[in-house]
Amino acid sequence: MKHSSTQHKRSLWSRICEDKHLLIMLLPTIILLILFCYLPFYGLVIAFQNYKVGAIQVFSPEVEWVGLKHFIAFTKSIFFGRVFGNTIRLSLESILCGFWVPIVFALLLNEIKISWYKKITQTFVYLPYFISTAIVVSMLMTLTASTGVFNRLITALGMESIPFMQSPAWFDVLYVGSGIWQNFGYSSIIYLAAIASTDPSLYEAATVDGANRFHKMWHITIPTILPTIVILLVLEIGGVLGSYTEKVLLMYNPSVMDRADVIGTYVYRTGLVNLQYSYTTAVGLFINIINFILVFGANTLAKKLTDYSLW
Amino acid sequence: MKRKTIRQGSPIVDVVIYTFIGIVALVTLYPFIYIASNSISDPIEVAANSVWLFPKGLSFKSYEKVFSSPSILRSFFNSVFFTVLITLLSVTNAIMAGYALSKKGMVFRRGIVIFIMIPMFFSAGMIPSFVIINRLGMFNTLWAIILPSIVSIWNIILARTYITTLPPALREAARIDGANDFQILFTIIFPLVKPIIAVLALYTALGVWNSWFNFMIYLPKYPEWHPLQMFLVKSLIWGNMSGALGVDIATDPELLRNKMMIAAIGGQLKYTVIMVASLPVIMIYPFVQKYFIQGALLGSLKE
Repeated sequence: MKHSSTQHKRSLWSRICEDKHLLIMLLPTIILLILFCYLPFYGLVIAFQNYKVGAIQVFSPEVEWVGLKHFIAFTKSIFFGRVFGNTIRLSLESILCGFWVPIVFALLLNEIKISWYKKITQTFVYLPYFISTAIVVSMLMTLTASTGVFNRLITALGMESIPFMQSPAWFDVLYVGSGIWQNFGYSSIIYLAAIASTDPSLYEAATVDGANRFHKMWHITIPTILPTIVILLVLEIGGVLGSYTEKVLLMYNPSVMDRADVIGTYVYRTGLVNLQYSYTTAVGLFINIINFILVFGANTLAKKLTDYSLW
Repeated sequence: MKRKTIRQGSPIVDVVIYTFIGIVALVTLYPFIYIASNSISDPIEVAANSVWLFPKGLSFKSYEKVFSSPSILRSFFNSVFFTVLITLLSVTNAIMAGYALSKKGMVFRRGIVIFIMIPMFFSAGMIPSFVIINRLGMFNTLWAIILPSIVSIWNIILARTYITTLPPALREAARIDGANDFQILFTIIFPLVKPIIAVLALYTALGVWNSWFNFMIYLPKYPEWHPLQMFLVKSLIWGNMSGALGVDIATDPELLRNKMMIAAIGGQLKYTVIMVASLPVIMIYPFVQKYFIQGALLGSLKE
């Protein structure tokens, strides 16, 4: 045992020498990951403490260990149902209303044969994806303001103007609608690529058999892209707890808070604004564990359904 | 009857599809047109809410105001500064790490790959990261913005995947000639990986340009270092416009004569600020669209 281990050591040392430049190249990555990813893992212990702002040592004799107190407090708080409910509701609405849009768009776009027309429309519909959340919300506020184009249209039709941003009933519509506006074009890229990979001889054979374009769409194109559809759907459902914190943070206000407050905004507000570090670390950890199970489950399912996987 | 109208290549169906796609594209573009038209129209027309599609009149007064604001010029400079710096560091790092990991049989390779992949699945979350950055003494310093943005695991994976497709003989031949790995990377590999560099750089730059949340969290004490997006958030979404711009419209001697004009330009500023913040992306995007499409496919399908 002993001699083989020394032999291994020597060869290991020579391998390190041989690859020393490669290891140096990896050094920045490793150091930065330790600082900004692995040290925060260690920081998770404050979820089980009463961590005071400005405390120097995480493991000091003065630290008060409280076990699962913060986790229990969260599950018992009124915010538990509210932020969970809002997060899941907004995600499910986004999937339900938005998931099919890029698929239909890609199928129709595939029928466009004039290439300049196709190029221009693609350029237009991809554009919103590249715009920042801050700009999207600014535009949303401008368009839905009392003097904005939506309300001008409504009042021109003889109806009362609607305070869109302040109305809880409209929050979901604005959140989901702007999300679809921003993403459907970009999401269609992947479906277009899947459609393009269809064997052209299938279409030729179908044409010979007298199939029209809807027959071909239904019997050839859709079956071809079905694996892509299933995988993306499964992954989206798996990511149901990954709410878009930044957007909600910019969109919400006291009058829509009940329907808009999601996990991320709650953690931000309670943790960084009200400085309850330990409590919100516990909330974050709790959510991350559930989220990980969901994403991992979704990925395993996607892997089972096809060969594809996220990792 | 119905069958007949949807015959293969039926021109009527073609017209319907072409029209529908065209309408969808124009509706998607509409918010941009609306904002752009309002920003260059006559301020009085904007105040009267009469601009809804094409600009009415032509005035660049509000643009003059925006570009004479020292705070917006500074935030524009900040956005450019952080975007260039972080993109440069992040892409260089991704290519270096990707190159190292692409060598089969590198010492500790498996361990390092696992070490790099773990943070992709588990994240400690917002608060522990904040507490650690605070304890590292980086809170309210530019380090808190720059350093955590350098490592992008996704970029490293894409770079490694791309470099793996290069023939290993390139590296071996250079090694036999006595070149070390740094020389191989910078003289042989870099020129060959330009396509992936373009994709990574564009996505990274876009992400940095559009970011604001980390500035709000980590740099609250130094608003003079906040980027354009943060300016937008503070002025348009959370605050008042002329205060954030730092230009007092009401003291402009030229405008002082016309009180209505002052109020009108004040109202027009929001459109102009949105335009100024989105124009760089809108103007660059059509020319680099193909790289973004490549990126979309790389990102969604691991091949």
